[in-house]
Amino acid sequence: MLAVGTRLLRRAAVCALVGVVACEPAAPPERQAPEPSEPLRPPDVRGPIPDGIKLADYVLDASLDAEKHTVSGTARITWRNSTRSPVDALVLHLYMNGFRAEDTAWMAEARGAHRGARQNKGDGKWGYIDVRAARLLAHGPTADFKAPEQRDAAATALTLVEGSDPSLGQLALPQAVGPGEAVTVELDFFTQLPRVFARTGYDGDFHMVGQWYPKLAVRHEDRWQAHVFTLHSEFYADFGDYEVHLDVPEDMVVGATGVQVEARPPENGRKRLSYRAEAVHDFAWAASPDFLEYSDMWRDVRIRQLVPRALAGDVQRHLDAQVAALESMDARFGPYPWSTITIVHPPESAGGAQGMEYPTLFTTSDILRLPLPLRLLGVHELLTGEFTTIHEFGHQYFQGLLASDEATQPWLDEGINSFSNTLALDDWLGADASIARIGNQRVSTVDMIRVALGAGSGLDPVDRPAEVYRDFTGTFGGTVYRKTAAVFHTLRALVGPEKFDRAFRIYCDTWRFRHPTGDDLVAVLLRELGAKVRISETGADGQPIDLDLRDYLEQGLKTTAAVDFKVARIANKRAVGTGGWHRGPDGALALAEAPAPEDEGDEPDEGAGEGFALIVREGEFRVPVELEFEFKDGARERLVWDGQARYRVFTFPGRRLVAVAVDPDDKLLLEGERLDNHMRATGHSKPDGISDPAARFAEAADLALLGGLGL
Amino acid sequence: MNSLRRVTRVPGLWLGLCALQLGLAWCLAQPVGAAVRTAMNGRVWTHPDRLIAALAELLGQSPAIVAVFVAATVASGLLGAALALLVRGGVLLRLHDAGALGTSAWAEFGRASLGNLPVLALIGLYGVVLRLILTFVANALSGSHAVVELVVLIVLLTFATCAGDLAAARRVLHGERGVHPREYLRACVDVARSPRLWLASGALSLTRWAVAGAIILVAVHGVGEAWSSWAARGLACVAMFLALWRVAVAVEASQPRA
Repeated sequence: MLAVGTRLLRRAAVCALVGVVACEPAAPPERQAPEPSEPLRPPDVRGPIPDGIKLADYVLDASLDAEKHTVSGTARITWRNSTRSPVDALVLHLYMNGFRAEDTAWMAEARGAHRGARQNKGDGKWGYIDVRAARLLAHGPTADFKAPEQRDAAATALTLVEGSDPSLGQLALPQAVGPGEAVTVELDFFTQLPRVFARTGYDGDFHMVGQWYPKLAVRHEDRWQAHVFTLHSEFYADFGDYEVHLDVPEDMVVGATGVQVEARPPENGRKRLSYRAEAVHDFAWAASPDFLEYSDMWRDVRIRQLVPRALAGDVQRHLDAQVAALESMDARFGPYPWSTITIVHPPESAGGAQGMEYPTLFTTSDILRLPLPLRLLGVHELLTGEFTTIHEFGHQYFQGLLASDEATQPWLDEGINSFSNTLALDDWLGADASIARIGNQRVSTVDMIRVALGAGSGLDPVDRPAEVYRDFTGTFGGTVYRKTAAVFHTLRALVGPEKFDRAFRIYCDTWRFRHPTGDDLVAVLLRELGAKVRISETGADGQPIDLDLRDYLEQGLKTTAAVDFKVARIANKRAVGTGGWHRGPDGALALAEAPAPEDEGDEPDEGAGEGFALIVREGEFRVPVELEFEFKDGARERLVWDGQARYRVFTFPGRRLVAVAVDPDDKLLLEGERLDNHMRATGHSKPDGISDPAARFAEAADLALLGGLGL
Repeated sequence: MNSLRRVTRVPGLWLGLCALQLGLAWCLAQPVGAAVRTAMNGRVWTHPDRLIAALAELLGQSPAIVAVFVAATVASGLLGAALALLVRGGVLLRLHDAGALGTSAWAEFGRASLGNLPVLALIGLYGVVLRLILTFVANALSGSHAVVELVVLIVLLTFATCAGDLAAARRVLHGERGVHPREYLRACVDVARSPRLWLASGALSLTRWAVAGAIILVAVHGVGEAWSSWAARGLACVAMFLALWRVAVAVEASQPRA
């Protein structure tokens, strides 16, 4: 019986879902915008590209076997040594080898699962990249390596040696590459794509081809910065130009980084497409015969969406989000430099490919299909579709353009990007935008971050390498994404949005097409905002209150300290009287009679009492906080407390306190627990704001359930 | 006599049952409010449109509130069912004959309710069995078509409600044995042979369920707002009226034909 009931419930849900799907709008007709002729926007729009930032150029020539889900080809890599010392070996990332066996660093941490998607158990379980040959083509500072005919027949054979983790390999060079010199190597590679469960791979005819070729690490002054591919470590590479030729089945619709510069007529069921991308640090592509294509323009940027037919009804919502993100981020963080952005919608069965960014291309996620009853209840959310589009596009800036090391400081891309996403949503939808709604209730972008802070951000400091975060703790998202965003939202609110935005824009402008570190960001903020930022001219004791910016960022990024203030107690006591024995001018004790004091606990009359409020800093994070005191006569007074001491008692002689609010303007987004920030004095029990709505809702639920007393 | 007329001539019955239902729901909601108030402990939340975040924090600190809410909701369902059974005999009698007035009317109501309680409970039990059987029937008829199954099930459940009403009316108003399953089956056969009866009763059942759904919609769209509470109460009174009307349809159908 229980089984029947469960089954019926399931069927009822399916019914509702089917009803909704039946009402889904049909796929709109495909639309095309012209392919941009150049991969970058015009210089007067995008601004200059700094000299010397392109250190790794790639010419990739690859062929997709859509039946076996393999990509084979050659990678010709030209690398320039921009350091002051010679380099005798190249270090390469072989990211696909992270999926090669159970004991790779990536798989050992993931244990076959990534963001809820599970590794396939049958065919396609493993992915790998095999570099089958390597050659040194040229060594010298002036060689033009881009023309294929320049291939040197007398190339020197090289040997790639895999590291202890197969996601890294080293290519010893016969002769060191001196400072300012360049070297060109060519590698024949064979990549087996896994069935997609973590960003890259295939599902049926759909192929998401990311991290698929041997890719150079970044040479720092004294070493290669080459991280082992682990579960949370993403990518880090030098900027360069990419020329990519793809040989794919004729029916494949392909989306790729950069712009398509040539499409040869199909031959023997296959076609050859050529792409060019400039000033990027990666190249990814997606191919499926089932993609519909929708292209639109935002100013001179082509927005291209590749969508399975089943999801085509959502293209307008994603387009709106994409345009909103471009409008906001182009204005806030500097012009988007590339001429195109491609949004790939993986099919529903390839959820593992959703939500990943590559230069000028990203994958988004499906908009949740809400059953009709939920839609009637006013449930609406932007989290599953629009937010993903904004977030993944945001990565075009953090770290597509400000190319930080995602493995060493993941907060610089995921966290700063999350911060930027909230700003973009607010720019789009208005201040304190709603990310979800249920009936007349909403979840604001602030709520979204704050709710995640409580459980997920207390174990690790923000500024830690990705590999340190253990999947088992489940804290990576709460710390790296949400807490980082909260640190910078809070800072922005404290110092003032205009001031902060100006400083942050300088950071963005300074570090475009470069590799900023956390120290670089902090240095810009310290320089532009000042080490001490004036928060208030009149603090609780009348003195100015400054925010110690270095200390704030140290606490926010390098410690696990949490912001948590509490209104611990409010009381009104009788005023100190004048009665009793006092020495007079003549030195003799004299008794002064005064009215008998009121009993302890009696509420004094206005003017005769004194208001007391105890504010406690429960968290270890020390930060100035604004307080609002409400008095019986209706007056309100605001004070800023520096928040350094563990607690502070505020007294108001001659005034009777009614209520106290900590951080009344909700500036401290870093504070996860907010309920104890507002308290009313005993005897002034206005509704607490939650119990009454809860009771009303419970009563209505009861009435619905009784529905005519069940007669 | 027209079934609607049977309801409108006993406004006291409708209002009394409405008061009972509203009172019951209000009483059961108080522990929820009290649990939240206790957990808040003098603290105040000042964003009436952002209660989800507040509740997420509060329930994290005081998960027992969820238990109180669930217990109150389950209790309201059980108490509602029990009270419906308790008053069913009296309701049938008042809808059949509204002759008595004042104190004697309520005394008559009480006697009919208590006197018929055991047999009405048994009829209710038959109804549960019938609903289970109809669930299987709906499943068998619909194959793998979930939407069809849901529609068939809803239609069949209105049948069970109508049959139960008819069997109860015959037992209470006309002294039929009613205890034996055969009498219940006879009511089922009569409903099946009288599409107009089933249609009238079924339409009223469906409308009542729709009104119950509307109460939820109103509650969700007006969380924390007074209008929503009063709208929910008003809709609950409408649901009560529809329930009485549906029972009156059975009373009308149970009358011996001239």
